[in-house]
Amino acid sequence: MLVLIGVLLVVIGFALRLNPLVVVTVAGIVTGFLGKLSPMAILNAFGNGFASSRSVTLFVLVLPVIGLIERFGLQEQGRRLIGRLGALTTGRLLVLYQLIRQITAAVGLQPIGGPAQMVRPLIYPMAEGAAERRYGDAVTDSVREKIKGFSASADTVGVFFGEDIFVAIGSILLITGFVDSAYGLKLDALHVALWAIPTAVCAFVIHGARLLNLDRRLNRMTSGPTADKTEEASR
Amino acid sequence: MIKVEWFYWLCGLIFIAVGVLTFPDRTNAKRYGSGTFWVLLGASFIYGTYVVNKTAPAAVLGVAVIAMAGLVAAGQLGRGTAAGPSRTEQEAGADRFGNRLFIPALTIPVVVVIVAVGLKIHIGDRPLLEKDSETLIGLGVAAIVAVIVGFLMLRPKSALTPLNEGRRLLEAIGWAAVLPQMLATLGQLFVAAGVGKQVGRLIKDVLPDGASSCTAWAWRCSRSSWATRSPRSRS
Repeated sequence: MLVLIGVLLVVIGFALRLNPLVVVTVAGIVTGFLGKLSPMAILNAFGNGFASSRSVTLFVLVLPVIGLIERFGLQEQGRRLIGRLGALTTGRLLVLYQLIRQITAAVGLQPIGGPAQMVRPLIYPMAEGAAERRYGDAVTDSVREKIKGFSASADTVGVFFGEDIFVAIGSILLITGFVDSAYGLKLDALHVALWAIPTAVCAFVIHGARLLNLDRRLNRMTSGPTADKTEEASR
Repeated sequence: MIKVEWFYWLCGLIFIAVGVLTFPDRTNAKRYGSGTFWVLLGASFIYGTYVVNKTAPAAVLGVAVIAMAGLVAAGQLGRGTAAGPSRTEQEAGADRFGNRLFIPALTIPVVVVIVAVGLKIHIGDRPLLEKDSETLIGLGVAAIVAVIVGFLMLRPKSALTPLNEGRRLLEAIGWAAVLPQMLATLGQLFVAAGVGKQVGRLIKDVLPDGASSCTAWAWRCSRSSWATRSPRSRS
């Protein structure tokens, strides 16, 4: 039972807003000791875990090209492009992106999106451009931060609740492996993947609604679309 | 056969290059700590190959991982203040290249699909791409193709521009770049220490018999807490 203290440590550390990387490392060391692993075994576990998880950091490979096109005005062009697509508000754009992210992840193409390769260079500038078009100078730094956060969330929720529909993914194999060994069942990975679909639909509806609601929140934060837009509408 | 390890090495070399460029960067108040962090991270990507093959002791990597966390805990990971692209620079680029700026960015998902789906072929009786790593290899190939496309299209003044721009983004992400990998490591450490078993036992005691589907769901939830995907996009 003591080993669960490690989980508690993560919760407390995150709640106190300590540096997450340090919290996670300390929680790992503490859990190892509580689980009666020797110091050597803990170091080995860190080493093996880190080596076999390198795939999640592979997104770094796209940073050079993203940085390069940013230098030449990619984000600016994203804002300009969205400026011409009047019907796409920040919220609607993000719902659309979440849907695409979820569907592509469900067919096993997780690396298509991600904070590094899609959100920062394309989705966030477009979401911000849509807000700038609508609210003009009322887009303050806190509005920008809000849009950044929601842009990242559209990506994360999309991929998280999409990838489990794809059979050959680590989490599905983990679920079947754990349940089979702990409860003596024989789960079919395909069934686990199939039953991830209702969850995925719920996630899309729930987070999609939050994203659409973002437009209303931005209305409140900026006290509504700018004057010249309302003039245009009344003409 | 194209192996995913090649791309981990490329990733490691990028980290090492970033570290080497950080040591002489006087705009970074923590240049020695930061340089050490990135070089250690890069070296761990290359060393990780031998850990996975079981030809090198994992504990050495474990020490490196804890050392990286230690550098972060001691506040020794900083960033340079070298300017990102200015607003005028970005506007000039957008004027000049317009929507063509999207080409390198969109090259990434297109090449991922082509490689991961289209190149899943066998040459003789051996697969061209390492099994179960097709999409990761796709991401790696896509990053290389995209940087070449971007370079030929934009013709930056220096051949090192992509690396410098990638370094700017990586410094902005900072320690968060390794957080997903560290969380995955923690997950494996939890398994080694028997946390999953304890959670399972705890829930088994609480829930009546026949509620094993609930257990599976609870397990799923307990997993999701540390399966958080990626660092938030920052800019």
